Amino acid sequence: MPEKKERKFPKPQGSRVSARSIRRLFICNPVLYLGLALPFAAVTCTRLQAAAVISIAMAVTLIPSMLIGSLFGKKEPRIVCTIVCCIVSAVILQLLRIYLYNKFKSIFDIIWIYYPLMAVNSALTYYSPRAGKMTPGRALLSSVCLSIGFAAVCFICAFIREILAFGSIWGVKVSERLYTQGAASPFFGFIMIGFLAALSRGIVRLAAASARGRRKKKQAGGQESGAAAV
Amino acid sequence: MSIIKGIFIIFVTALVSENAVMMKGFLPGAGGREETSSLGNIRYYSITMTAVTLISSVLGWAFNSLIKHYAYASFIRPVVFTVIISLLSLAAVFLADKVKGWGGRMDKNDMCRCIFFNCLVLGTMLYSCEENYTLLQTVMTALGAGIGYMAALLVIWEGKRRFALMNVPKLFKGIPVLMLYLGLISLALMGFSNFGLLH
Repeated sequence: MPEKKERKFPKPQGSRVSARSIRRLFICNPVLYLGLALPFAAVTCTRLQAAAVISIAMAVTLIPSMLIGSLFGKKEPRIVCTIVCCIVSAVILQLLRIYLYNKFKSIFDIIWIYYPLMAVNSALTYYSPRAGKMTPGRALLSSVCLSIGFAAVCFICAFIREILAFGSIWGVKVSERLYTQGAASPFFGFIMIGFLAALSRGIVRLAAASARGRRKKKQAGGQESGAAAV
Repeated sequence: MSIIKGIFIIFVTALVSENAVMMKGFLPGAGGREETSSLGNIRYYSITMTAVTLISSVLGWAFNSLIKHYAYASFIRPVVFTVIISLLSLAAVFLADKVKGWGGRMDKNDMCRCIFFNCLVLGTMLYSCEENYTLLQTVMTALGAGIGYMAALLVIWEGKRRFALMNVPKLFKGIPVLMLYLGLISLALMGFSNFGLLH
Protein backbone atom coordinates (compact mmCIF):
# COMPACT_ATOMS: atom_id res chain seq x y z
CA MET A 1 0.00 0.00 0.00
CA PRO A 2 1.53 3.39 -0.97
CA GLU A 3 2.60 5.66 1.91
CA LYS A 4 0.38 8.60 2.73
CA LYS A 5 1.90 11.93 1.66
CA GLU A 6 2.22 14.47 4.46
CA ARG A 7 -0.23 17.34 4.00
CA LYS A 8 1.35 20.56 2.79
CA PHE A 9 -1.13 22.72 4.67
CA PRO A 10 -2.91 21.89 7.95
CA LYS A 11 -6.27 20.18 7.52
CA PRO A 12 -9.07 22.71 8.13
CA GLN A 13 -10.69 22.24 11.52
CA GLY A 14 -14.33 22.87 12.33
CA SER A 15 -16.96 23.23 9.63
CA ARG A 16 -15.56 22.10 6.25
CA VAL A 17 -17.38 24.81 4.31
CA SER A 18 -16.16 27.79 6.35
CA ALA A 19 -12.63 26.43 6.89
CA ARG A 20 -12.13 25.75 3.19
CA SER A 21 -13.38 29.20 2.29
CA ILE A 22 -11.16 30.85 4.89
CA ARG A 23 -8.18 28.97 3.42
CA ARG A 24 -8.99 30.77 0.15
CA LEU A 25 -8.52 34.03 2.00
CA PHE A 26 -4.94 33.35 3.06
CA ILE A 27 -3.59 30.32 1.24
CA CYS A 28 -5.30 30.35 -2.14
CA ASN A 29 -5.05 34.12 -2.71
CA PRO A 30 -5.96 34.66 -6.38
CA VAL A 31 -3.12 37.12 -7.00
CA LEU A 32 -0.27 35.72 -4.92
CA TYR A 33 -0.78 32.00 -5.48
CA LEU A 34 -2.44 31.71 -8.87
CA GLY A 35 -1.29 34.91 -10.58
CA LEU A 36 -4.86 35.92 -11.45
CA ALA A 37 -6.06 39.51 -12.03
CA LEU A 38 -2.43 40.68 -12.17
CA PRO A 39 -2.87 43.81 -14.34
CA PHE A 40 -5.26 45.27 -11.77
CA ALA A 41 -3.06 44.56 -8.76
CA ALA A 42 0.30 45.33 -10.39
CA VAL A 43 -0.45 48.19 -12.79
CA THR A 44 -3.46 50.14 -11.53
CA CYS A 45 -2.97 50.04 -7.75
CA THR A 46 -0.68 53.04 -7.48
CA ARG A 47 -2.97 54.91 -5.08
CA LEU A 48 -5.18 53.77 -2.21
CA GLN A 49 -8.24 55.31 -3.85
CA ALA A 50 -7.53 53.33 -7.03
CA ALA A 51 -7.15 50.17 -4.95
CA ALA A 52 -10.53 50.88 -3.34
CA VAL A 53 -12.26 51.29 -6.71
CA ILE A 54 -10.61 48.18 -8.17
CA SER A 55 -11.44 46.09 -5.07
CA ILE A 56 -15.10 47.16 -5.19
CA ALA A 57 -15.15 46.34 -8.92
CA MET A 58 -13.68 42.88 -8.24
CA ALA A 59 -16.27 42.18 -5.54
CA VAL A 60 -19.25 43.23 -7.67
CA THR A 61 -18.03 41.10 -10.59
CA LEU A 62 -16.69 38.00 -8.84
CA ILE A 63 -19.52 37.42 -6.35
CA PRO A 64 -22.39 37.42 -8.89
CA SER A 65 -20.25 35.46 -11.37
CA MET A 66 -19.54 32.64 -8.93
CA LEU A 67 -23.21 32.56 -7.92
CA ILE A 68 -24.19 32.30 -11.60
CA GLY A 69 -21.54 29.61 -12.04
CA SER A 70 -22.93 27.58 -9.14
CA LEU A 71 -26.44 27.85 -10.61
CA PHE A 72 -25.16 26.74 -14.01
CA GLY A 73 -23.68 23.64 -12.42
CA LYS A 74 -21.91 21.27 -14.77
CA LYS A 75 -24.08 22.01 -17.80
CA GLU A 76 -22.36 22.03 -21.18
CA PRO A 77 -21.13 23.99 -23.09
CA ARG A 78 -19.21 25.60 -20.21
CA ILE A 79 -18.34 28.66 -22.25
CA VAL A 80 -21.98 29.80 -21.99
CA CYS A 81 -21.45 30.23 -18.22
CA THR A 82 -18.39 32.42 -18.87
CA ILE A 83 -20.30 34.47 -21.48
CA VAL A 84 -23.22 35.13 -19.12
CA CYS A 85 -20.86 36.03 -16.25
CA CYS A 86 -18.83 38.47 -18.38
CA ILE A 87 -21.88 40.24 -19.82
CA VAL A 88 -23.54 40.53 -16.40
CA SER A 89 -20.26 41.85 -14.93
CA ALA A 90 -19.90 44.43 -17.72
CA VAL A 91 -23.42 45.73 -17.07
CA ILE A 92 -22.91 45.87 -13.28
CA LEU A 93 -19.58 47.69 -13.69
CA GLN A 94 -21.08 50.42 -15.87
CA LEU A 95 -24.04 50.88 -13.48
CA LEU A 96 -21.58 51.13 -10.56
CA ARG A 97 -19.46 53.61 -12.49
CA ILE A 98 -22.39 56.03 -12.64
CA TYR A 99 -22.40 56.05 -8.81
CA LEU A 100 -18.63 56.04 -8.24
CA TYR A 101 -17.62 58.51 -10.96
CA ASN A 102 -18.56 61.64 -9.01
CA LYS A 103 -16.68 60.49 -5.89
CA PHE A 104 -13.52 59.24 -7.64
CA LYS A 105 -13.38 61.28 -10.87
CA SER A 106 -9.60 61.74 -10.92
CA ILE A 107 -9.09 58.06 -10.11
CA PHE A 108 -11.15 56.97 -13.11
CA ASP A 109 -8.87 59.07 -15.30
CA ILE A 110 -5.90 57.17 -13.85
CA ILE A 111 -7.50 53.71 -13.99
CA TRP A 112 -8.64 54.44 -17.58
CA ILE A 113 -9.48 51.24 -19.51
CA TYR A 114 -8.66 48.90 -16.61
CA TYR A 115 -12.03 49.48 -14.95
CA PRO A 116 -14.16 48.04 -17.80
CA LEU A 117 -11.57 45.28 -18.21
CA MET A 118 -12.66 43.89 -14.82
CA ALA A 119 -15.55 42.29 -16.74
CA VAL A 120 -13.10 39.80 -18.29
CA ASN A 121 -10.53 39.56 -15.49
CA SER A 122 -8.83 36.18 -15.18
CA ALA A 123 -10.09 35.56 -11.63
CA LEU A 124 -13.67 35.73 -12.91
CA THR A 125 -13.05 33.47 -15.92
CA TYR A 126 -11.08 31.02 -13.75
CA TYR A 127 -13.46 30.68 -10.80
CA SER A 128 -16.92 31.06 -12.36
CA PRO A 129 -16.85 27.73 -14.31
CA ARG A 130 -15.32 26.00 -11.27
CA ALA A 131 -18.17 27.30 -9.08
CA GLY A 132 -20.38 24.77 -10.90
CA LYS A 133 -19.19 22.17 -8.39
CA MET A 134 -20.23 24.30 -5.39
CA THR A 135 -23.55 24.99 -3.75
CA PRO A 136 -24.70 28.64 -3.98
CA GLY A 137 -23.90 29.18 -0.29
CA ARG A 138 -20.35 27.89 -0.61
CA ALA A 139 -19.87 29.87 -3.86
CA LEU A 140 -21.00 33.05 -2.08
CA LEU A 141 -18.65 32.49 0.87
CA SER A 142 -15.71 31.58 -1.38
CA SER A 143 -16.25 34.60 -3.62
CA VAL A 144 -16.39 36.95 -0.62
CA CYS A 145 -13.15 35.47 0.76
CA LEU A 146 -11.43 35.71 -2.64
CA SER A 147 -12.53 39.34 -2.99
CA ILE A 148 -11.17 40.16 0.49
CA GLY A 149 -7.88 38.44 -0.36
CA PHE A 150 -7.60 40.40 -3.62
CA ALA A 151 -8.42 43.66 -1.84
CA ALA A 152 -5.76 43.00 0.79
CA VAL A 153 -3.05 42.62 -1.88
CA CYS A 154 -4.26 45.73 -3.72
CA PHE A 155 -4.27 47.88 -0.60
CA ILE A 156 -0.82 46.76 0.51
CA CYS A 157 0.66 47.46 -2.95
CA ALA A 158 -1.18 50.77 -3.25
CA PHE A 159 -0.12 51.97 0.21
CA ILE A 160 3.58 51.36 -0.41
CA ARG A 161 3.52 52.72 -3.98
CA GLU A 162 1.55 55.85 -3.10
CA ILE A 163 4.00 56.76 -0.34
CA LEU A 164 7.05 56.10 -2.51
CA ALA A 165 5.71 57.60 -5.76
CA PHE A 166 3.68 60.56 -4.51
CA GLY A 167 4.50 60.95 -0.81
CA SER A 168 0.81 60.77 0.11
CA ILE A 169 -1.74 58.48 1.79
CA TRP A 170 -5.27 58.51 0.33
CA GLY A 171 -4.39 61.70 -1.56
CA VAL A 172 -3.17 63.53 1.58
CA LYS A 173 0.47 64.63 1.29
CA VAL A 174 2.57 63.25 4.17
CA SER A 175 6.13 63.42 2.92
CA GLU A 176 8.16 65.65 0.63
CA ARG A 177 11.41 63.77 0.36
CA LEU A 178 11.06 60.03 0.03
CA TYR A 179 9.49 59.53 -3.38
CA THR A 180 10.35 58.30 -6.85
CA GLN A 181 7.99 58.19 -9.82
CA GLY A 182 9.31 54.76 -10.75
CA ALA A 183 7.21 53.26 -7.94
CA ALA A 184 4.10 54.04 -10.01
CA SER A 185 5.41 52.06 -13.01
CA PRO A 186 4.26 48.54 -13.93
CA PHE A 187 7.67 46.99 -13.26
CA PHE A 188 7.52 48.05 -9.61
CA GLY A 189 4.11 46.42 -9.26
CA PHE A 190 5.37 43.13 -10.71
CA ILE A 191 8.42 43.08 -8.46
CA MET A 192 6.35 43.97 -5.39
CA ILE A 193 3.86 41.19 -6.07
CA GLY A 194 6.74 38.75 -6.52
CA PHE A 195 8.10 39.61 -3.08
CA LEU A 196 4.63 39.62 -1.50
CA ALA A 197 3.96 36.15 -2.94
CA ALA A 198 7.24 34.84 -1.53
CA LEU A 199 6.51 36.45 1.86
CA SER A 200 3.01 34.94 2.03
CA ARG A 201 4.42 31.51 1.20
CA GLY A 202 6.96 31.89 3.97
CA ILE A 203 4.23 32.79 6.46
CA VAL A 204 2.04 29.87 5.40
CA ARG A 205 4.97 27.43 5.64
CA LEU A 206 5.80 28.69 9.15
CA ALA A 207 2.16 28.27 10.17
CA ALA A 208 2.05 24.76 8.68
CA ALA A 209 5.29 23.79 10.41
CA SER A 210 4.07 25.02 13.79
CA ALA A 211 0.72 23.22 13.32
CA ARG A 212 2.61 20.00 12.48
CA GLY A 213 4.78 20.44 15.56
CA ARG A 214 1.72 20.95 17.78
CA ARG A 215 0.04 17.84 16.31
CA LYS A 216 3.14 15.71 16.91
CA LYS A 217 3.37 16.91 20.51
CA LYS A 218 -0.29 16.06 21.03
CA GLN A 219 0.21 12.58 19.56
CA ALA A 220 3.36 12.03 21.63
CA GLY A 221 1.50 13.21 24.75
CA GLY A 222 -1.37 10.83 23.98
CA GLN A 223 0.99 7.84 23.51
CA GLU A 224 2.82 8.59 26.78
CA SER A 225 -0.43 8.76 28.77
CA GLY A 226 -1.58 5.49 27.11
CA ALA A 227 1.70 3.77 28.02
CA ALA A 228 1.45 5.12 31.59
CA ALA A 229 -2.13 3.74 31.91
CA VAL A 230 -0.90 0.27 30.78
CA MET B 1 4.88 58.65 -46.69
CA SER B 2 3.96 60.31 -43.41
CA ILE B 3 0.90 58.04 -43.16
CA ILE B 4 3.06 54.95 -43.56
CA LYS B 5 5.52 56.34 -41.00
CA GLY B 6 2.70 57.06 -38.55
CA ILE B 7 1.24 53.57 -38.95
CA PHE B 8 4.66 51.98 -38.52
CA ILE B 9 5.23 53.97 -35.31
CA ILE B 10 1.83 52.79 -33.97
CA PHE B 11 2.74 49.17 -34.81
CA VAL B 12 6.14 49.36 -33.10
CA THR B 13 4.64 51.19 -30.09
CA ALA B 14 2.03 48.45 -29.63
CA LEU B 15 4.76 45.82 -30.03
CA VAL B 16 7.42 47.23 -27.71
CA SER B 17 6.92 50.36 -25.61
CA GLU B 18 3.22 49.65 -25.00
CA ASN B 19 3.62 45.87 -24.95
CA ALA B 20 0.40 44.30 -23.75
CA VAL B 21 2.04 41.94 -21.26
CA MET B 22 5.14 43.79 -20.02
CA MET B 23 3.84 47.35 -19.92
CA LYS B 24 0.07 46.99 -19.56
CA GLY B 25 0.18 43.77 -17.53
CA PHE B 26 -2.28 41.81 -19.71
CA LEU B 27 -0.74 38.59 -18.50
CA PRO B 28 -2.49 35.32 -19.28
CA GLY B 29 -4.34 33.86 -16.32
CA ALA B 30 -2.50 31.75 -13.73
CA GLY B 31 0.86 33.09 -14.96
CA GLY B 32 0.30 31.66 -18.42
CA ARG B 33 0.56 28.11 -17.14
CA GLU B 34 -1.44 26.57 -19.98
CA GLU B 35 -0.46 29.01 -22.70
CA THR B 36 3.28 28.60 -22.10
CA SER B 37 3.34 24.88 -21.35
CA SER B 38 4.88 24.14 -24.76
CA LEU B 39 5.94 25.89 -27.95
CA GLY B 40 3.01 24.27 -29.75
CA ASN B 41 0.57 25.82 -27.26
CA ILE B 42 2.28 29.21 -27.65
CA ARG B 43 1.84 28.93 -31.42
CA TYR B 44 -1.88 28.01 -31.15
CA TYR B 45 -2.70 30.65 -28.57
CA SER B 46 -0.72 33.54 -30.05
CA ILE B 47 -1.81 33.07 -33.70
CA THR B 48 -5.44 32.57 -32.71
CA MET B 49 -5.34 35.45 -30.25
CA THR B 50 -3.83 37.80 -32.84
CA ALA B 51 -6.59 36.87 -35.30
CA VAL B 52 -9.29 37.31 -32.63
CA THR B 53 -7.84 40.66 -31.54
CA LEU B 54 -7.76 41.83 -35.16
CA ILE B 55 -11.33 40.79 -35.96
CA SER B 56 -12.79 42.09 -32.71
CA SER B 57 -10.89 45.40 -32.99
CA VAL B 58 -12.30 45.98 -36.48
CA LEU B 59 -15.83 45.16 -35.30
CA GLY B 60 -15.32 47.39 -32.26
CA TRP B 61 -14.11 50.24 -34.45
CA ALA B 62 -17.16 49.86 -36.71
CA PHE B 63 -19.56 49.96 -33.73
CA ASN B 64 -17.71 52.87 -32.11
CA SER B 65 -17.90 54.95 -35.30
CA LEU B 66 -21.71 54.67 -35.05
CA ILE B 67 -22.08 55.68 -31.40
CA LYS B 68 -19.07 57.84 -30.55
CA HIS B 69 -21.01 61.10 -30.84
CA TYR B 70 -23.62 60.08 -28.27
CA ALA B 71 -23.36 61.19 -24.64
CA TYR B 72 -23.51 57.70 -23.09
CA ALA B 73 -21.10 56.08 -25.56
CA SER B 74 -18.44 55.44 -22.89
CA PHE B 75 -20.99 53.48 -20.81
CA ILE B 76 -22.43 51.42 -23.67
CA ARG B 77 -19.12 50.66 -25.36
CA PRO B 78 -17.67 48.10 -22.89
CA VAL B 79 -20.95 46.18 -22.65
CA VAL B 80 -21.40 45.95 -26.42
CA PHE B 81 -17.74 45.01 -26.90
CA THR B 82 -18.20 42.17 -24.40
CA VAL B 83 -21.25 40.98 -26.35
CA ILE B 84 -19.23 41.11 -29.60
CA ILE B 85 -16.48 39.01 -28.02
CA SER B 86 -19.09 36.56 -26.68
CA LEU B 87 -20.67 36.09 -30.11
CA LEU B 88 -17.24 35.55 -31.68
CA SER B 89 -16.40 32.96 -29.01
CA LEU B 90 -19.65 31.06 -29.64
CA ALA B 91 -18.88 31.03 -33.36
CA ALA B 92 -15.37 29.78 -32.60
CA VAL B 93 -16.65 26.93 -30.38
CA PHE B 94 -18.98 25.74 -33.16
CA LEU B 95 -16.28 26.08 -35.84
CA ALA B 96 -13.55 24.48 -33.70
CA ASP B 97 -14.92 20.99 -34.23
CA LYS B 98 -14.93 21.52 -37.99
CA VAL B 99 -11.26 22.53 -38.22
CA LYS B 100 -9.20 19.33 -38.01
CA GLY B 101 -6.29 19.41 -35.59
CA TRP B 102 -7.04 22.90 -34.21
CA GLY B 103 -5.95 23.07 -30.61
CA GLY B 104 -4.55 19.56 -30.51
CA ARG B 105 -5.75 17.70 -27.42
CA MET B 106 -6.80 20.82 -25.52
CA ASP B 107 -10.41 21.22 -24.50
CA LYS B 108 -12.10 23.54 -27.03
CA ASN B 109 -14.28 25.25 -24.40
CA ASP B 110 -11.31 26.06 -22.16
CA MET B 111 -9.23 27.20 -25.11
CA CYS B 112 -11.94 29.56 -26.38
CA ARG B 113 -12.44 30.87 -22.86
CA CYS B 114 -8.71 31.68 -22.54
CA ILE B 115 -8.46 33.20 -26.02
CA PHE B 116 -11.57 35.36 -26.11
CA PHE B 117 -12.16 36.37 -22.50
CA ASN B 118 -8.91 38.01 -21.55
CA CYS B 119 -7.68 41.56 -21.11
CA LEU B 120 -5.76 41.66 -24.41
CA VAL B 121 -8.78 41.41 -26.74
CA LEU B 122 -11.12 43.76 -24.87
CA GLY B 123 -8.23 46.04 -23.85
CA THR B 124 -7.07 46.53 -27.47
CA MET B 125 -10.64 47.31 -28.56
CA LEU B 126 -11.10 49.90 -25.79
CA TYR B 127 -7.61 51.38 -26.30
CA SER B 128 -8.18 51.94 -30.04
CA CYS B 129 -11.52 53.65 -29.34
CA GLU B 130 -10.12 55.82 -26.54
CA GLU B 131 -7.29 57.02 -28.83
CA ASN B 132 -9.78 57.72 -31.67
CA TYR B 133 -7.82 55.66 -34.17
CA THR B 134 -8.77 55.25 -37.83
CA LEU B 135 -9.44 51.76 -39.20
CA LEU B 136 -5.87 51.33 -40.43
CA GLN B 137 -4.42 52.48 -37.12
CA THR B 138 -6.76 50.10 -35.28
CA VAL B 139 -5.62 47.19 -37.46
CA MET B 140 -1.93 47.98 -36.86
CA THR B 141 -2.52 48.33 -33.11
CA ALA B 142 -4.25 44.95 -33.01
CA LEU B 143 -1.47 43.32 -35.04
CA GLY B 144 1.23 44.90 -32.88
CA ALA B 145 -0.57 43.83 -29.69
CA GLY B 146 -0.98 40.25 -30.93
CA ILE B 147 2.62 39.90 -32.07
CA GLY B 148 3.85 41.58 -28.88
CA TYR B 149 1.76 39.08 -26.90
CA MET B 150 3.38 36.19 -28.77
CA ALA B 151 6.84 37.63 -28.09
CA ALA B 152 5.96 38.01 -24.40
CA LEU B 153 4.73 34.38 -24.21
CA LEU B 154 8.03 33.23 -25.74
CA VAL B 155 9.96 35.30 -23.20
CA ILE B 156 7.89 33.80 -20.35
CA TRP B 157 8.36 30.27 -21.72
CA GLU B 158 12.13 30.71 -21.98
CA GLY B 159 12.24 32.19 -18.46
CA LYS B 160 10.29 29.26 -17.01
CA ARG B 161 12.53 26.79 -18.83
CA ARG B 162 15.67 28.39 -17.37
CA PHE B 163 14.22 28.66 -13.85
CA ALA B 164 13.41 24.93 -13.94
CA LEU B 165 17.13 24.25 -14.46
CA MET B 166 18.32 26.72 -11.82
CA ASN B 167 18.40 26.33 -8.07
CA VAL B 168 15.62 28.81 -7.24
CA PRO B 169 14.88 29.18 -3.47
CA LYS B 170 11.70 27.31 -2.42
CA LEU B 171 9.85 30.48 -1.43
CA PHE B 172 10.43 32.03 -4.86
CA LYS B 173 9.55 29.03 -7.04
CA GLY B 174 6.69 29.56 -9.48
CA ILE B 175 4.78 32.88 -9.43
CA PRO B 176 7.26 34.94 -7.28
CA VAL B 177 10.30 34.43 -9.50
CA LEU B 178 8.16 34.86 -12.63
CA MET B 179 6.94 38.23 -11.34
CA LEU B 180 10.48 39.38 -10.58
CA TYR B 181 11.56 38.28 -14.06
CA LEU B 182 8.65 40.11 -15.73
CA GLY B 183 9.34 43.19 -13.64
CA LEU B 184 12.94 43.36 -14.82
CA ILE B 185 11.95 42.89 -18.48
CA SER B 186 9.29 45.58 -18.07
CA LEU B 187 11.95 47.89 -16.62
CA ALA B 188 14.15 47.19 -19.66
CA LEU B 189 11.29 47.97 -22.07
CA MET B 190 10.64 51.23 -20.25
CA GLY B 191 13.85 52.43 -21.84
CA PHE B 192 11.90 52.70 -25.11
CA SER B 193 9.45 55.11 -23.53
CA ASN B 194 11.04 58.38 -22.46
CA PHE B 195 10.39 57.86 -18.75
CA GLY B 196 12.49 59.08 -15.88
CA LEU B 197 12.57 56.94 -12.76
CA LEU B 198 13.97 59.52 -10.38
CA HIS B 199 13.08 63.15 -9.72
